[in-house]
Amino acid sequence: MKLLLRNRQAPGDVLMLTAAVRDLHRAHPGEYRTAVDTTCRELWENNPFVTVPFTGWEPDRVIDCQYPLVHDANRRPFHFIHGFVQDLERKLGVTIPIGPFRGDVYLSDAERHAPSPVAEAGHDGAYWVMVAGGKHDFTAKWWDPESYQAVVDHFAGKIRFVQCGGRDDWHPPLRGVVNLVGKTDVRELIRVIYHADGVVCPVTFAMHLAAAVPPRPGAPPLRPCVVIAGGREPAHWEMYPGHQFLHTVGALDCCAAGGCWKSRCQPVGDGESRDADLCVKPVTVRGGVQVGKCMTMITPAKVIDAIELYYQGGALALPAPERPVPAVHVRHDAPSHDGVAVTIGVGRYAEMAGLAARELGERTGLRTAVIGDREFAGSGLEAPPFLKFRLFDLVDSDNVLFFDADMVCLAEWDPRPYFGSGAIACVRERMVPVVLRESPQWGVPPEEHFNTGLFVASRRHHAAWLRRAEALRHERPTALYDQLPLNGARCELGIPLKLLDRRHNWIGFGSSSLSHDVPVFMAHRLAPDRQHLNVEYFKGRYQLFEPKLAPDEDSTARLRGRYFAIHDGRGGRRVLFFRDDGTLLPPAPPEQEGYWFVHTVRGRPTLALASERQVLHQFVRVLSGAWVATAAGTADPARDGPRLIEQRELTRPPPDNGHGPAITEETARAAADDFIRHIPPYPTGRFSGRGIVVCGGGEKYFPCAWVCIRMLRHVGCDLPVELWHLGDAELPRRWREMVEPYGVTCVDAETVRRRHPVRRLSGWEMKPYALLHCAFEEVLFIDADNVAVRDPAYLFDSRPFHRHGAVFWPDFERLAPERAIWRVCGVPYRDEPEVESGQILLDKRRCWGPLQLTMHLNEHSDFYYHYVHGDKETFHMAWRMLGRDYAMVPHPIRQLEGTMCQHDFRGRRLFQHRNLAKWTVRGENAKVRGFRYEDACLRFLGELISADHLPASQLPLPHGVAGAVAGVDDGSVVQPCNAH
Amino acid sequence: MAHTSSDEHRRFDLLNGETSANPSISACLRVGDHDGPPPLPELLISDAGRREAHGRLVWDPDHRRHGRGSRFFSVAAVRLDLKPDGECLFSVGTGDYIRFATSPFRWVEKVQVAAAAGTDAPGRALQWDWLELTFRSADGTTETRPSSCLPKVVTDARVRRAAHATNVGAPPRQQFAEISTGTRDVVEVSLRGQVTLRANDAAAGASPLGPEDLLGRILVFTDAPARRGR
Repeated sequence: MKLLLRNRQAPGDVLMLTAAVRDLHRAHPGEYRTAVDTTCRELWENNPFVTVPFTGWEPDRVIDCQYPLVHDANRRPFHFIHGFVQDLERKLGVTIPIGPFRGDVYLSDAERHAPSPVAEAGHDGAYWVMVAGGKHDFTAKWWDPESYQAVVDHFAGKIRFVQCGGRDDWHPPLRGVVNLVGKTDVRELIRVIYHADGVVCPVTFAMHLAAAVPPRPGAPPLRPCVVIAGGREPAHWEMYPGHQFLHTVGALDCCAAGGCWKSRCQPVGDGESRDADLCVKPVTVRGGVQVGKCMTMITPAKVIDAIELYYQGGALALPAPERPVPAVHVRHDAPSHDGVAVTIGVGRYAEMAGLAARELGERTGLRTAVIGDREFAGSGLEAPPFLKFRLFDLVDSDNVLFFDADMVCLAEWDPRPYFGSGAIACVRERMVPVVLRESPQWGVPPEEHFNTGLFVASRRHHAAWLRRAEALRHERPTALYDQLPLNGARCELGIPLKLLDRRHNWIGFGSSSLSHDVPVFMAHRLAPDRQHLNVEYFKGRYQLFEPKLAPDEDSTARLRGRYFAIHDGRGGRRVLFFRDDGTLLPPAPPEQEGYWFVHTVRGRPTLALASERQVLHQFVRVLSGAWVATAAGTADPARDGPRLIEQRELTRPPPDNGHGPAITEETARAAADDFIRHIPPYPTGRFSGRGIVVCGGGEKYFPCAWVCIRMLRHVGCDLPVELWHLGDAELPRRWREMVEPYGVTCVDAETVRRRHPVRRLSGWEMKPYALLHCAFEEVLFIDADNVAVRDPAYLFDSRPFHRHGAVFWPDFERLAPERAIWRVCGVPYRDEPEVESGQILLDKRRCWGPLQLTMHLNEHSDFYYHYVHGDKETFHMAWRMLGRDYAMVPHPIRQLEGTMCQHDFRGRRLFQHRNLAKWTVRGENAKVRGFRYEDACLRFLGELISADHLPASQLPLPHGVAGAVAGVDDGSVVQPCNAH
Repeated sequence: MAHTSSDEHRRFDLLNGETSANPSISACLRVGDHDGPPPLPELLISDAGRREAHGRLVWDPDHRRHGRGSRFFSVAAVRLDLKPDGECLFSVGTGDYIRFATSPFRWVEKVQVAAAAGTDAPGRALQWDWLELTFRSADGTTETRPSSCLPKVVTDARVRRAAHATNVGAPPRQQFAEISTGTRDVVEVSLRGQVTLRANDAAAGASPLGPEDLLGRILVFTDAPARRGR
């Protein structure tokens, strides 16, 4: 019988029809000659069961193939593969046993032996296919693109992903992948999958292909495939053998009885009836995209685990790390400290490059080389800057100082100390818009984005980096030519940086007086867009005045790695970290403070904070230790100008402090994993009951702690309180005697430390330490400068606490996906609020592991605090590193002047955290509009001043306290304890 | 090749050497000479057609009283306004504006602000301490930009030269900031600045101060055709 089978459905449907045709012919050999009229005809190529109809070929029967079985999918145990078969059985009146559990796809010999389209695009090696999107009118199958990205990022350097998808469909581009979206037809996609180690996708054509395309020789018989399915379709209908089918059917009320079969999470407006039958639990993710809640419940961690399963079980093996390709003319006897300074001088740049090389050779003593027209012509590259990718192929040296031809070496310096290092020595790029805009797209933290006009690299450590950068360049365009591929490849491969201060590559030299005044070693052009000036300079026809600034290297060295709070004199305060390379964290726009240095002005060390182009503030140190702003070179401590106050509790310890080894970005996750493996079991019996912990000693924090404790009692809280401090000096006896009558136990952390050693314990580190070692099993931590406005004891009985054992409160911001801390901690990015750790509620028994890990992160604060602000995100990261959930109060901070108000789960104000308006006994306590119980707090503060026997004559009474000290009723009304 | 330093359309460059030729407007301040002959005014403004106007001021009454070999020190505010109809106002210190009419123009291309020394005698210094330019566009919008380039000249300052430089010329006697508008939409420009002039400080030794030993220049280049000579 001559059959013509017709179907106009999607490629995945047609692929399932191939299985039915196969099974029909195998069950009834010779009985049918079958032609097909379907969409996606490429799927039938090389199919031995299909007849190509010739002119005059008339079918005996035409069948419109369908699979009505799908309507029973939620209640009957059938797979999609049964659908067309049952339809054919019914229409032909025959029995068709089901054959292999897959569609039927054939590759020609030529297709099998041709390199994969991925290799043809220049990417050798193993890979997985990732389909990170879908049809525009089928949004219920979408997964959050950032989740796909998190999976890619997790496997960076281990598994290469090739992103595939239809040109007209929705496939947001991922970073760090080979992007073939819209670049493959069906047969090419089949070849891509044929060569793939595995496939990650939603329920889509690629899933069916992953099963249907035969395995290549040596590959697992069942091709690995991780399907992110959610709750749309029942697993038994779609899942193939060997696939990891991640679904939520049965977990949500909307798919409690099976797949929901919804198509859309938002209306498309195409008039289709599916617009009226939308997902009932849509979730808006980054970029405003709506996906089903069932899809968001499948986390990147679950997908990562599913992929890793294939490696853990041995079905797949990770490729060996790429080895550097031996360079042309490698000189094996070259000592590792030897190196060559190299630049590129092609075409009109040749003269300038030659002169620049001669000048640099003279000032550094290095041999120099210019890569010129001949090398460029032989490279096949589109533009001379790309020759940087081939440095180790072109240069006969193990170590290279590369410098752009438009750089001028203005003073002597020695690059040799950077030769042979595993780190790339370079200068951070300016935080200009193009850098801020493009860096995240390449997975490069802006503060780690370096200018590729100058870098020191070694063949042993960095040849693979240059090769990877060249490969990346092909994957996506950038306005910055080689720079983003080089930066992106560095991040991808995890190569460390040795950032030099900007005197080694002053970008924008000549656009400011500051650049002329600083003794710059390497100017990146003598004036922007005036390369001819360089040549004039080399030839003696252009001269610069000697720089006038005298750097104070010793003082600069002392301030490296320290934190300072800059008080702008108007009540504003920001914490700045002084990086070793003279840049400031957080990174600032070009016109704001982005750099620091110390220079000598009239014999006095003067600390300068500068923008890209000018010094914005200068400070000299006064006897109190503070750095006060100078005006016209004269310190005026009485002047109400900016001040820098060092945050000593954040200062990195000296390397020889004997507190154990510091960790690095490369070792951080491994160190954490090692720590996790050795976390001791929860010490049953050591802790008991509920209580509150406050850390607060010293003149700055004890007054805050005093007010905090008095307010707890004032609002009726009778929970025991532990007040933690560091040493007797922080909490003298008279203060202890003042607080103890209020049910407070004072705990000296230095004493505890003798029994429970910790690598670092100064400021923020004390918070997790006190939580860990306080006597309570269930503990509420409150910052000293935090005030409860109701008895917080009811939090211990709240459902979220009972459910999770940990309650955190939200901060204003969310950690951006490009923040390095995700990578450092090995945590896939999550779009969730940062933790504001001014109050924390924990059940230590249930949170012992994450709390211990938090302590680990904090005792390495000299590393982790570079990546996050103090302790707050260490809680967040530790919980996520261990895959633990926590409850977070869903109500955002209400901001008052210098104060963050936090709420309970019902949205009632509970805490008033005066983080920027701390109580003080030596200055003004500014009134904070909207701050509840402020008069009561001030009265408590006044009592402290009176009872503490501070000599009033020497103590300026704080604003607002005078009345209380003098016993004058200032009219404040203490609200009832449970007032809102 | 794209470069991260090419992000802004208003460009500020600090350069040593000669300013561009044929400015549309040239405003100049100098030490000057009250006693002649001929007396040289402290302030001068001229255009490409060589029309000019001048003004007088006393920089440093001490210097004037004690003679040319005495210490010279002055700090003054500088103001220059130029409108598309050619009206130009120039003022230094507390003196009133010098008014000047030049050819109308359609747009401002660039402004150069220079610090120059007319002598090699040591101890002469002119420094622009602060410069701020306001550009008004044809649509009425204004943009005020402080200059990151503050030219200065010190006659006995040492210079940096290339190690292999040949045919080395004399040290530069002039440094200038060039502010390029980068577009053709700037129809009006206002400059506000502060300049410091010093000479014969005790440490550097004293020598008679010539009327053109210290010069500050503001040169404005517009699209108006340059006219040479009268």
